[in-house]
Amino acid sequence: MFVQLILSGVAQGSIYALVALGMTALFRATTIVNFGHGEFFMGGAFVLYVMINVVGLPFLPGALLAIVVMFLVGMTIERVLIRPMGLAPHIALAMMTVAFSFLFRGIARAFWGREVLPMPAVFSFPPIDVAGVIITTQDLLITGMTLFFVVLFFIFFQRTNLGRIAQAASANPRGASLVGINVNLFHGTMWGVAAGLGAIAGILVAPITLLYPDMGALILIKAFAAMTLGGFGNLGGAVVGGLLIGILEQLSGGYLSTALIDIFAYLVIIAVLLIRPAGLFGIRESQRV
Amino acid sequence: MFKTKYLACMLGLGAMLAGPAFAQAPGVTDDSIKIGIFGPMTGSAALFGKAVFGVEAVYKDVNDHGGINGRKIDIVREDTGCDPTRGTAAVKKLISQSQVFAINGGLCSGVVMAVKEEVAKAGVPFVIIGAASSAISDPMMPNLFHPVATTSNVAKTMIDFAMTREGTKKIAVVSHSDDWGKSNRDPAVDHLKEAYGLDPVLDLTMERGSSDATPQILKIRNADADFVVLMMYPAEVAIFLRDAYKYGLKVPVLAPQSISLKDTRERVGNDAAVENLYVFYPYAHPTDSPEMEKWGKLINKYYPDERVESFSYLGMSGALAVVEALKAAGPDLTRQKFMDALNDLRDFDSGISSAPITFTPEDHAGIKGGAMATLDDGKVTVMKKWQDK
Amino acid sequence: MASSLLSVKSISARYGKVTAIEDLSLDVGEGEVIALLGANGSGKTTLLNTISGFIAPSASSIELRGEVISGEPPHRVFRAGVVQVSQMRDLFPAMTVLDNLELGAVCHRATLSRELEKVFHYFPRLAERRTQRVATLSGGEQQMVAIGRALMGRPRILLLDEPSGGLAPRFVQEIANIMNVLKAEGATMLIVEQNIAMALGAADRFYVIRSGTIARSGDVSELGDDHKALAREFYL
Ligand SMILES: Nc1ncnc2c1ncn2[C@@H]1O[C@H](COP(=O)(O)OP(=O)(O)OP(=O)(O)O)[C@@H](O)[C@H]1O
Ligand SMILES: [Mg+2]
Repeated sequence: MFVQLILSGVAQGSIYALVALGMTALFRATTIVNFGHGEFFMGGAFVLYVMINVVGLPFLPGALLAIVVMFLVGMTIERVLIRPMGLAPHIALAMMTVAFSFLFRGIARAFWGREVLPMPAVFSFPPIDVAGVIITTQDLLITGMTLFFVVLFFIFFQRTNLGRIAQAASANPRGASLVGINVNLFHGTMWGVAAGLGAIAGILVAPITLLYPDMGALILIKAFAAMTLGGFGNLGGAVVGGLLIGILEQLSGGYLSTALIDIFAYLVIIAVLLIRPAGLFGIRESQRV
Repeated sequence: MFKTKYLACMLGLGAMLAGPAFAQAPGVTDDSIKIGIFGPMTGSAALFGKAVFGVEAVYKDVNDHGGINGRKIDIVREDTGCDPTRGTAAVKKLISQSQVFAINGGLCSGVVMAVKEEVAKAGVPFVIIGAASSAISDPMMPNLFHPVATTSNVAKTMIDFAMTREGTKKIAVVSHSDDWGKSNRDPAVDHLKEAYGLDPVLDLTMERGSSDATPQILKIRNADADFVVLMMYPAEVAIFLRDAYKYGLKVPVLAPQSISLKDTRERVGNDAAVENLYVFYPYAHPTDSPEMEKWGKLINKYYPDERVESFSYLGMSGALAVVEALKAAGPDLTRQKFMDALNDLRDFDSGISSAPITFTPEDHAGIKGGAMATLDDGKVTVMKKWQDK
Repeated sequence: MASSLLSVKSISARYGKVTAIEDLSLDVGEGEVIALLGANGSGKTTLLNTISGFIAPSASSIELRGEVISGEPPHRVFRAGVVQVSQMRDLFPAMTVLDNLELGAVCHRATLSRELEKVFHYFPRLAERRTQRVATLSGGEQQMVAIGRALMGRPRILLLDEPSGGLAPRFVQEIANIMNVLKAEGATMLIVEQNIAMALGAADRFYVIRSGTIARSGDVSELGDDHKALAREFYL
């Protein structure tokens, strides 16, 4: 049972990790805490649904297109809603993200209000039984793809020149302008990347969960818990935090009480803030916050 | 002397009030009866709002066939979003602003419980569409009618069904921990104790919005349960079944009437995963039978874009009962006459609900008994006992 | 005066309702070194930030070789060749010296190694510390990185905002030497300074800014030994 719980915890946690990673990257780049991030997750799943069930595309092109669409949605949000606010205080920017989060849910409800949509199962290979431990292709796919995107993300940010530019522009936007970096474009791109990561998470769970307009709300809390646990603003911490939340949720559900699963994220947030506010990997970066 | 004169005066006034050309009951004119409808048309429970279209289709069909005693039904619809606060506002609006004659509404028990007092005060006849909590009609409220299989009725049917299998001892319960989940779980656990002297072998929760049921499944597998009773919403039931299949859990699973077999199969995307699913079945016939398809066509006549689902039929027999009572109340329609007619309804068989509707002045929980259904070779099969399969 | 490289034509800039610069004009000729003097809060930084595109001027224009650059965003102004070493330095503290310098050349990848060599030649201290994180450098060393990073961007005109600000005399001297070296190599510079002696040491001409407008200007050569009087007049 232990191994089984760990495995399904990793699959769950992968999703949290992807969402938390996107939120953290955006926070680092723009210092904005995006309360609308759950809607990128929801958006990815819904756009995929439209691509497959309305447009009639196969899964893979549909998924790629959905990521592109959500990337553009992210960029558009930056251009139309965030940039015009200029140097508004953080709380105002956060309120803006809350506002568009509800706006997006409203739009989704307008189209799919009464429906909870099933997604056609993508890969229905039978589960594999390895010495009593069940592994499904879905779980493998989710974990594998998450690993792939997380590694890709870190290679990009730490090994490429563009990544270094992104790091610089995150650390000091004014400094970046002073070396000729288009900071607005960078912010727009980061909104796009964040939306894309959220969408990837949504697309990965879409075939195994059900789509409904409010599906982003729950994932947002898990992502917050992951970020808090890993150290708010720490990219690696967000990933590790997400995985840990997923695993701990499962273990507490399996060994303690199933009632714990869904309050677990809140418990983590409270416990971390009281005991170790900087999180597991929190380093104090003086210029942040 | 004075007394009789006074009485005559009163009677005269009464006759005038009841006179056709003069002031009529609220919401009633010579050629119309205004009926208020409310339900969750948006929000996370909007799936249940589908039932509203079934109810409206019944009334529109009546109108197209000449109405009732020369009056057409005038529908006023409000959206509650399944939110008690919004629901209360919606009902107040129906009563005081739209001044409806009667209300036919309510799919979320939380909303219905919240508006009960308001409706009781106003004395407006209130017929429930689909909210199933037993607390709605127990204790009885004179102007509230509940033509729905209540949660305790459903729970009882589910548990009794499980016990028809020989040797059933271990029943595991998994429910949402919200009010809805509790109002479904509690009567099942109570009935199990009272009728059979058993406690659930496991009493687990799975929250709304969960996308994984691994811990629950593994616990049930370890406990070697004979049956699993799921008091959950459609999405989570589908996830539970998907994971049960994944972990090779082959225990029969029982679910309440909010679960549709075909919809669940579609969601799970796998026939084998729903093989062991049995749901409380509120209807007399399988949804794909000609008897039910007739009603589905009626809905699509008025709402061509609406995807008819098993929930779509939920309030139709109640609406037909309303029509029946309106007819019986006669041309001089008053709220009292309408409610009297409802109280006289005996074994009203709409052909839709699994059991006929009976209201008495003492009992407004109109549906007693029910059946379970399962998918047999992809076809919905209605069954009363385990052995029926 | 040489042909005009940068000309600021009667610009104004305000922060909300507060006017920080009003009807200010100045000219920088090709190859000229200009000292911009003024008390705290007189609007020097505001002027440089307006030239660099961080603040939109509310009237008239700023031209670089006759082309209007006012209204362009900062990265465009930079790419046009106007490079600022800001008062706050605005470095990337978590990154190494080398990273910071290389980032100065993101728009000039082709000449990166040549420019890097030049910068290390100007500042041998930086060459020794190339892999050290900037956050761990001393203030003087950070200022060197800031100037070095600006030079990596191959400026047509360098805007320096108090390059000696907050530095020990030894570092002030080192910065002053660099100013002279750059001047000798023909660089065009607009230097904002509190340290009059240092500013005038390298400058051809000077402007004095007071309450957001130019109060006085002239050739350094005509000033003679008048530094002290100038200081008394405007700083006290
Ligand atoms: N962001 C801002 N918001 C409002 N007022 C500002 C802002 N920045 C500067 N000011 C005001 O504008 C005026 C000019 O400021 P500026 O920074 O340009 O002066 P300075 O000459 O560079 O001074 P210092 O020598 O101290 O650097 C000051 O009165 C200052 O208070
Ligand atoms: Mg200044």
